[in-house]
Amino acid sequence: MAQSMRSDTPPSIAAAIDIGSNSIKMTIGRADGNGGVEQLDWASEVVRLGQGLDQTGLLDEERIENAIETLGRFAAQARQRGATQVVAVATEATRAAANGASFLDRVRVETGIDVRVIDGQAEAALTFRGLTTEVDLTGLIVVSDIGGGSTELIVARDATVQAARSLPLGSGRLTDRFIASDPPRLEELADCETAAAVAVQAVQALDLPPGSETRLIVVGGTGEFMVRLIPDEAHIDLAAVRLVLAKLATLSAAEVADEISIPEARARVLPAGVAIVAAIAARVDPARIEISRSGIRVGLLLEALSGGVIPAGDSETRAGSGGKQARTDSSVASSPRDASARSFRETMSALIAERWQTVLAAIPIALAGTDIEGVHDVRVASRRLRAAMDVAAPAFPGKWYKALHGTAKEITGALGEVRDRDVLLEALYADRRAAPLAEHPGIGRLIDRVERERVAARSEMESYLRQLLAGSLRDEVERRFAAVEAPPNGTGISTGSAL
Amino acid sequence: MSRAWPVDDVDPEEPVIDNARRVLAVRIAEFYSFEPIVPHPELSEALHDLRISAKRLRYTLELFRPRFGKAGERQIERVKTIQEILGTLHDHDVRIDMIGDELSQLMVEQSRKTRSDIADASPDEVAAIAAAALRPPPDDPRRGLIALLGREHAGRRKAYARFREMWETCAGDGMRRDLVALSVRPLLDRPAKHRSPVA
Repeated sequence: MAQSMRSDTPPSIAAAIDIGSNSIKMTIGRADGNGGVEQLDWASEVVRLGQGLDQTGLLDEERIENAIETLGRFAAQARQRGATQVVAVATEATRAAANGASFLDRVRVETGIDVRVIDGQAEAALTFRGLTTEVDLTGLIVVSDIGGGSTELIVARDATVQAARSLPLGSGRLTDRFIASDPPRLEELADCETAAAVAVQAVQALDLPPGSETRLIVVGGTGEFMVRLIPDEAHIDLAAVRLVLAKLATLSAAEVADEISIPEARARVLPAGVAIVAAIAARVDPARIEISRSGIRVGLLLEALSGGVIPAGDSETRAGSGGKQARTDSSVASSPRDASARSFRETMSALIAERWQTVLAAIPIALAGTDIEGVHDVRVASRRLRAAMDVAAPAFPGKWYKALHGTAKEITGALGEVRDRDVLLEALYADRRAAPLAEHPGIGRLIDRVERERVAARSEMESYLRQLLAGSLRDEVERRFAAVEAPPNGTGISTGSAL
Repeated sequence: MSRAWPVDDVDPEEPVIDNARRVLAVRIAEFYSFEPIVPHPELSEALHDLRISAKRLRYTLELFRPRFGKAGERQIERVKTIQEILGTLHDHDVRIDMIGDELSQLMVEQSRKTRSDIADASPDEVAAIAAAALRPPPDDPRRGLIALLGREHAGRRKAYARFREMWETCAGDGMRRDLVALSVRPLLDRPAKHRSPVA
């Protein structure tokens, strides 16, 4: 990952680049002598690499060109500032896209930057590492890093991570899905917040003790730009966030861009990002909300400037009582074993854990019933999970695996009954619209039948899924699949194909 | 639904790339075991099983897609197209069954009503009841169901024709040869150390 420009002397200045779904950002810095980072320069470009990804499964060619051009420019800027290392990571958009690998190949060839793709856990760990130098981490805190394609949530107490979760929620993703108007309509913002609330609701780690004085720390561009629309930065609460949302419903992207001095493309996805903040704040009910401009790039700089590795046993990333460790990708990269030699069992175990998490995070959206695609999303996620579990079955001969495999299949089946009827109804309504009047009673009779079946199927599905969420499935998944290293790097497994 | 063919020689302790080849080889064999049913449009269930087999093959290719590169992408596209056309065919089969079932139920209901009407009717009314039963009114639901059934059958024929054409095109282009080549390539092309994670 590190591009050494001068390998014979220890690096004193480094550049950290974060290739997200919305923006590519770079921070150049050096060690400040107190365990922190002195930031010397920065750059940011809104590329929206993840735009349309949910629809096509691919990174758009034009956006790839823009990204490569931006990275080339950033590399030159880093050299000019005397950086001896360039470290770069790519997150959700690149890890999910079918052509993510060829994009990174081109980046390496055309800019000389070797980019590391990191998973949500590593993203969360690096973000937290970055915060340790700039934010008071005593007491109970929830950190949210809202990206364009995913949102990382970290729960920590007294600078020790208790849990880290990555949700398939992002400002770009929700914008693509729910916001068509400019300015966004209030209903569109409500749809964004509902979708976010449903996903956030499922995060058990956010079930915090009542009365705890929790602080919510929002990192990343969403927090930074949102706060520019809040008159009194010292007192940010849920009401203030909701006022920002209301204000954003009256301003076009161009007006927002003008008011807070950000690119229009970034302003376009800001409302959905703020809706995610509102959903998280509503769930956590924090004593106060804070904004931090630190984050993943500072974590990366710390990693690079301290020799490239965040110790796996570092207290900042050690788990709490749950026993699961918030892993950093660097611990994988620095493993003595070549990643490609990781065993099939280890690799598949990590992949299956990740896919289970995706299914479990998506189920509440299907249960909410506010988005017809919610059912489809869980079904697709469960199919992807089953694809991995089918292939991995010979590596896990235990009965417990068969039981979990069976559960994955049942989830697909339970949702399939509803989804099939959703699709059938859509076709029948279209048929009736196009048919002569004399045919309407017959088609109507069929529609009534399918509607009745759909209600019954939906009720069965809801009861099944609620039972699943209430049971020990989540714990069982974590227990069975958590004892392995982080998901594979360079092992040849695709973590983001659109199955 | 047919069960997936087992992959007996997976070694959990070996690297992924070695096992990917083994899994793919079995999925290719399973997929082509359905070749004999391709010319038989009437074998709805077997065509559905072929679709499921195509899905398993595609998922395997997608799961290991970083290993298979551009050649793999081409195979994914081919298998996906075949699977999708077979999906359309299956949707028609499901709807044909459902409409046929609804039509049967409707006719049973109408038949019962006719019997009940006749049982309660005076001898003078029987002829009128029979006429109504034999010449249904313009809004009789059977019209819509029968018309719909006709459209579904036409759609199914079209989907099957597209499937045959696609299958033959793929066969002519050497799809099986290309797939088999993929299933042996990973062993010959191990990744260099420290490549990009999804490369």
